[in-house]
Amino acid sequence: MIRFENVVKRYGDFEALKGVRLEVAEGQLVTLLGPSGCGKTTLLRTVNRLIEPSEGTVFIGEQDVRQLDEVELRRGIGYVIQSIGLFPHMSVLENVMVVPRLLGWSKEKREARAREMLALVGLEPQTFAGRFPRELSGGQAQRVGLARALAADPPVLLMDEPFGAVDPPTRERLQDEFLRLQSELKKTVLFVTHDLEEAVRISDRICLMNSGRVEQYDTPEVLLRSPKTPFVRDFLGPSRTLLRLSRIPLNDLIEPLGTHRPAVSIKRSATARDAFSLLLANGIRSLAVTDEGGQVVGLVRLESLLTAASEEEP
Amino acid sequence: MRETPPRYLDPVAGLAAGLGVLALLLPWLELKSSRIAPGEPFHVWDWQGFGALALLILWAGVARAQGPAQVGLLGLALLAWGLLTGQGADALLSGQPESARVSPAGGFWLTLLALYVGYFAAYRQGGWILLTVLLGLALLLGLGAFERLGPLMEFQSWREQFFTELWRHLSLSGSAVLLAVAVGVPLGVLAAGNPRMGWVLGVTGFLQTIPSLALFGLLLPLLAAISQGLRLEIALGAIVLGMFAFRLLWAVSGWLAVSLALSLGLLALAMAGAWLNSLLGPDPLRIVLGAPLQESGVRGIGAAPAVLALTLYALLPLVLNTYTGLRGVPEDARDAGRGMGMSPEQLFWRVELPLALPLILEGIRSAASLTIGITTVAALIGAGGLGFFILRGVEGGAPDMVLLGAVPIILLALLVDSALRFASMALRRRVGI
Repeated sequence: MIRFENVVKRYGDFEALKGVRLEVAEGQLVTLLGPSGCGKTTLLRTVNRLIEPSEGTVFIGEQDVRQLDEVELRRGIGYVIQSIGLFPHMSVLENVMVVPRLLGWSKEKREARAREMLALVGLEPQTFAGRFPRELSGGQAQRVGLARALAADPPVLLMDEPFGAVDPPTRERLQDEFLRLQSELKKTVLFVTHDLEEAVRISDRICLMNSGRVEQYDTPEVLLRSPKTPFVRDFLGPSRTLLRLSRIPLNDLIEPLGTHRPAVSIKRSATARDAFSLLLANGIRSLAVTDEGGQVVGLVRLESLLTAASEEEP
Repeated sequence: MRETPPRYLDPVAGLAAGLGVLALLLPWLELKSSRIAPGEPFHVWDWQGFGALALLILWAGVARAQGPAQVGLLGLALLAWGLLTGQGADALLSGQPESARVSPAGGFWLTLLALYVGYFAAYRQGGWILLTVLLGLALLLGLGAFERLGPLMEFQSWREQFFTELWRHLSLSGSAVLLAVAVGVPLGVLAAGNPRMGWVLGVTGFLQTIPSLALFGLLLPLLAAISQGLRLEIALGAIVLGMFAFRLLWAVSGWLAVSLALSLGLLALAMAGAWLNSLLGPDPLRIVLGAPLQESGVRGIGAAPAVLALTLYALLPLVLNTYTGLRGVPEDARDAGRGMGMSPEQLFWRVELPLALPLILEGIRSAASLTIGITTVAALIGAGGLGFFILRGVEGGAPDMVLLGAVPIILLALLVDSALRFASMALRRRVGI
């Protein structure tokens, strides 16, 4: 869906991008991850031509973006930035209607659409439509930013550290809700972040970048299991195995309940990482697993967690 | 039970009361045998000892009181000020010949200042103090408290001319501000958007440092020569041709293009100023083709140089505020707008301009109150306006006539200032900055 071919960006003598090749499949959520200054935001902005590459080509579908009118191109791409960039002189509703208005939709259509979008991101339209951005909390503003980017139903979303400016609990909630939305909407998403946990949590694939190059492009599981270069190994750090456990649903590790019945229990919707943490905290070797109703459905043992976490291919 | 706030002496109210008490010690009115004769001073207690005491007590109350009581006491002090003045004028003039005049003296003015300071002390009462003052002033005018004071007598004898000059004053400053907005806002936009245009700020800042009389002195001979030598259609043709020539010259030499634009721009401003002033003001508009410019009202003296100079003065606040306002637009808002597919024009009209608007309006406000003040000088070069009375009063040694010009100018400036301040505050609240 999005394809970068040998994209180079130079600023004077400085090369911000040194020939990036990358392909993002339709409906996938790909994060561009890396330390600041690695070129991830620059790469993102070549897609909607806020930055023009010095060399190379960016394709959306089979279309070279340079052959499209830049204004038309941008109206067809959802765009969310870290500081959100809500227009302070427009109400929430007006903010969400910006792109539909640029596209010339009728007033009724764009207003109905904007209300629908607000509801979609979990903001009661009755309450929030007339508010101004300064009257919103960070999390609410971020939701409005997302609603605004989705308003014209663009197939592609570009998100530049969209959850960077909110506190950690709010960030996790926003990530969860965004994942839920994404599982319904199936947009092709390019998502810039410097936060490894966030990338592991939400990505279909992670593109780890360093000084203008792609170091590794893989699913979170593969990336965490087998880092290809010393830089990747360093960047992921010593707790990458724990992070990998967070990608493993506990559901896959449940064994039938034997005669032994563990005293501590955990919900089956939790991750292997949560279970591991609970085992460590209690100094025990197995946990009871319950369903949503609190009914015990099996148990999980420390040994199976260890097997799942070991770096050997199963 | 509501908690009573701690009692303390509000320094602003204290200052107002101090000024008010001090004013009672000064002569309040002057009696003159004619409008240009030297005056003989009188104190309040010379005609109304009880009134002086009452005002003293009122001022003591203003200093101590708070809230609605303070507003009420200020209103009473305002009434006492006007009524004592009216009574004094009647008392002093009784038995005097027709030509005798009573003029306000130090005590009268100082009390006015004290009331003005008191207004700010009671400002927290919001609309109530404004309402009280307006009601008090209306009551005093209705009772004719000031009718027998010198400036009002002057007004009676100059009534018709007063309104003409007031109209002229408004049309001169109005045309200047309108032209300054039309020129200054685009210049500010250019300066904000293009680093090569930074000199615009320097030039407008420099213009403001030229003393107004010197600017008139520079413009007079220049405009006089042009207006006699240049025919209207040639001037118009030169301006239109100049616009095209500018584009060509800009490619060759920036400075050449800018000097062409500046000289033709000044000519265009002078013509537009004279015509806009005739359109808005009491003097008829005349446009005569095939004759020198002076036939069309663009002369070395009169409205053309006056509006031109005033426009140049008003440019700085407008250019500067437009520039600052646009520079202050958050980069995120710009980036978001661009990223969502706004064309540069849409970004300007939908995002940048609305966000800069409160500051631009602030610029219009300072330009307007500044211009109303300097328009006074326009009378010196025959453009008229309320400065006319000041000039005639000074020449003839009639201070009451000076006041007939000066007081309305101050009131106008205050009125325009507060109206525009109100508008920009409402807008700021709407935009949220």
